[in-house]
Parts: sequence; C-alpha cells; structure tokens
Amino acid sequence: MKYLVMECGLSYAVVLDSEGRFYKVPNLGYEVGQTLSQVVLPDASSGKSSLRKHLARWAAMAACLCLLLLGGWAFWQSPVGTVRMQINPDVQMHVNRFDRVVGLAGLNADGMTLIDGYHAYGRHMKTVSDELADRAVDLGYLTDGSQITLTVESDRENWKTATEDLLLLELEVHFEHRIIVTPVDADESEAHTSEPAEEIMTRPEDVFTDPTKDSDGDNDDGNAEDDIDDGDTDNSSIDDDQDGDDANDEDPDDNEHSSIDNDHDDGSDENSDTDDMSDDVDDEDEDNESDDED
Amino acid sequence: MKRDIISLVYAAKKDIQAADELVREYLPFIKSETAKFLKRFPVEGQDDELGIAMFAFHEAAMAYSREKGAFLKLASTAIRNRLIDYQRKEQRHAGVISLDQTVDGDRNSRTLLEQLDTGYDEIAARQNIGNARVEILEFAQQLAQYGLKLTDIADNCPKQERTMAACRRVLACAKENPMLLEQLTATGKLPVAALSGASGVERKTIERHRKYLVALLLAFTNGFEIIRGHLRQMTPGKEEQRI
Repeated sequence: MKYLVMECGLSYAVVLDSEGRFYKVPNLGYEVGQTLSQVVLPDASSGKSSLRKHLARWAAMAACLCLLLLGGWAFWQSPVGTVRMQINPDVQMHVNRFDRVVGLAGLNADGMTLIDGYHAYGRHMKTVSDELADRAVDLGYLTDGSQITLTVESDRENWKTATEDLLLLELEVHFEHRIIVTPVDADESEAHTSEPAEEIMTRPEDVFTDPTKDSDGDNDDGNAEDDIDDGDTDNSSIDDDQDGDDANDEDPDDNEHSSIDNDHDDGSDENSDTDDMSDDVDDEDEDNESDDED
Repeated sequence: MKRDIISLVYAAKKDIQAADELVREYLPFIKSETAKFLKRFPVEGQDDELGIAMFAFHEAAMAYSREKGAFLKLASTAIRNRLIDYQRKEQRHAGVISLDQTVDGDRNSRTLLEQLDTGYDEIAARQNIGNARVEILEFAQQLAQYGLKLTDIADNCPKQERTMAACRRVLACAKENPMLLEQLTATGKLPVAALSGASGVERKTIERHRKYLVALLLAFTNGFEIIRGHLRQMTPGKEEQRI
C-alpha cells in the first residue's frame, strides 16, 4: 500500500492511500507530495477492538456487580451472634451485623409452635423479639409476672453487651415491666438447662437401683428430707406414679413413694409426709423386699 | 493558567492552525512525557516516538471536553498509550537495523543509506514531490471552495469496508456519467439524488459521507493527474461488484 501525503501539520499529516482512504497520521517528518510505503495508522481493527473493549468492559462490570452482590449477600447473611429467648418456648435467632434476623429456630416443641408461620427474615431483632413475646402471650405461654430468659452469644463482646442491653430494655418497655426479662450468660444457660437432666439421671439410681444406699436407709431419708426442704419440683420423675395422682400418693401400701411425691404437693401433704417419715425405716425393709421380688 | 490551557484546547478544536500552535507551545511537556517513556531524552527529527507523542497530544486536544477533567492529565495518558501501541507494533522490527544509522557508530561518518546503491534517483524524486505538492495544493484550494479541509475529509472517511465499497460504487457511477462530475464542479453541490439513483447506494449513506465523496469525485475531475494515478488501484473489487 502506498500513501500520498496530502497535508502536513506540526504533529499530524493527512495521507491518501492508493485505495482512496484518507487518514490522519502522526507526522514523522513528512512533506506534502511525498509518497510513503508505510505510515503509523490508527489501529486497523479499531471498530472491532472498540466493540471488544466495550464488551469486555460490560463483562467486567457485570462480573464486579455479581461479586459485589455475592459479597454483599454473604456479608448480610453471615450471623454475628445469636439471641436465645427462653419463655417456655425456647427459640433462637441468628442475627447479622445489621441487627437483622437471618435465621430463626425453635429449640423445643413449644418453640417450634411459637415460630410456626412467623416470618422473621430480614427484620430487626427488636421487632422480632417483641412479636415473638406477643405471640407467646397470645398462645398462653407468657403471662404477667412471667420470666423471659435472654441468652446472647457472640464472639464480639461489644455487640453481645449492647444487644443484651437493647433487648432487655426493649422487652421491658414493650411489656411495661409486667414481665421479668433476665439476661443470662451462655455458660449459665447451659448449666441451667442441663441441671434437671442430671437429676433425672442420678436420682432414680440413688433411690431405686443402689442397694447399698437403700440398705442403710439413711440416704433415702436424707434425700426425702432434702427434697422437702429444697421444695424441688423435679422429684416427680422418680415417682412410680406417672400420672401424678395425689389420691394414689396417699396409698398406704406405697409409703415410700408418697414421701417423695409430697414434694409436688402443698403443705398438707408435707404434714402427712412427716408422719410417714417415722415409718420409713420400718417400711424400707419391706420396700426392699418388694423391690427384690420385683 | 488552567483556564488558559482549556481555552487554547477549545480554540485548537475549531482551528487546525491553533492546534499546531498548541502542540508547539507544549512541546517541552510532550518531550518530557516521551522521555519518561523512553527513559532518555528524545531527539527531534530522529526519534519517531516524539512524532507519535505529538500526534497523541493533538488527538487528545481534539477529543478533550471539560467533563474529562484536567487536559494535561488526559494528554499524558494519551501519549503513554500511543507510545505503548507504537512500541508493540515496532517489536516485530526489533532485529532490523536502521538505514539511518552510521556504519561505525561515529556521528560524522556516512549512514548505511548513503553507502548503499539503491538506484534511487533523488533528483527525480524531489521533482516528483514538487509536482505532486503543486497539484495537491490546488486540490486543497478547490476543496476549500466547497468549505472543506483535508482534515475534515480524513475524519469523514468511511471506516467500515462495506461503506467504503458503497462509496467506490458511487465513484464508479460518477466516472461512467461525467455529467454528474460536471454538475458537481458547476453547482458546487454533490448531486446526491442522481448518484443514489444511478449507483443504487442509499441516499443516507451518501449524505453521511458527503465530504469524503466530494473530495473523491473532485479528484476525478480534470487537472489532478497525479492523485488519479495514485488512486488507480481504486476499482470496485469482486466483493463490491457482488454487493
């Protein structure tokens, strides 16, 4: 291809190629009328390359947008901590860094009932805690003077403290102090929930299956007395009488059981229990014999 | 100072002489930017990179608008990009020595070109260039009568091959009908309707490349033998005929 120099400026030259195209090119010391075999042309595939550039730019922008959305989604979705509300229904909220609920789970059957049909995703934890408490009131789990135990868990101590304070205040103000809200540390909460289970596992062994303790009779008495003093309500678990019927508790043939069952009962039963206590030692041998026979 | 540059740039966009003046005024800046790229100071008249940088500065001035921010920053980027492009293109000639370099590296000794017997008749070449210059200046003057400049025509030249083929068909049609060429020179107007009807090219295409077609048809009127000779390759190819 030959190029005829048609015009020269200080920085540019207009050349005409032998196919009739005019180009503006860098003037590398050309003069008008000169025929050149080579010039520095603008990129021949400038149209295509600009299209490619546009496509690449759009693709890059789309990719960035996708990454941004994915990152934002992950950022939004990742919980920064959990809030556990124990009324009787036990529910746990997963809360993100914007204090929005990203997950809600019922930790027991009542908790499942409480959250059934309730949409909490993306809502502020204050609203969710208020509404869950309201639902608990509607479903009869929560009455005036009841207690809500709040357990906030997070790796961020600041967030944990702030959330505890926030929800405590929010629920108290929401119910106008008619309900007691107690914040509990996660460790305490676990200890609290595991305590009855320990009793369930140990007491029956103490009472029924350990023959050494039963033989001397002191342990059994001591337990019974402790139970009365502590007012422990969990002794129903060691009752043979699963239906908890007081009438059966007063069965004269089952004095041993009645003494423990009295823990559930009011003061009148306790009196009868103290009367029975005197008979415990005498009855124990019979009881052991009957157990052995069983 | 900033306002001065911007007003100079806007003046350069309207007037090609002002554009040259702007380049001349900012030549130290252009040299500085080139030196940054070359890692040495460019030699005027010897380093093509300086010419490329000056052209990039000129292009930046033509493309500048206030919304794009500071002009010198834009110019600096444009220069760097153009030099990078040029360097990439020139890499294929990396192993080739220049005919302008001296034989033994001594500045005062003769260049390779001077020592080679290429059969190049410099006197005849100078004469040809002189004749061509006269003709081209006449061509530019006639274009000016139509209110056109060669730089405008370069800007209006079709970029796509399909459009170029359509323009060639218009030219071929005009060559077959000298009346149309005479009509152009007599009226000073491009007979768009007649050209469109005779060549089958859409009127819109002709209108869009009016400046380019005026220059092309003018070159094929009487008196521009050298330009016509240069354009002898400009015949409709197989592809164009098929279209």
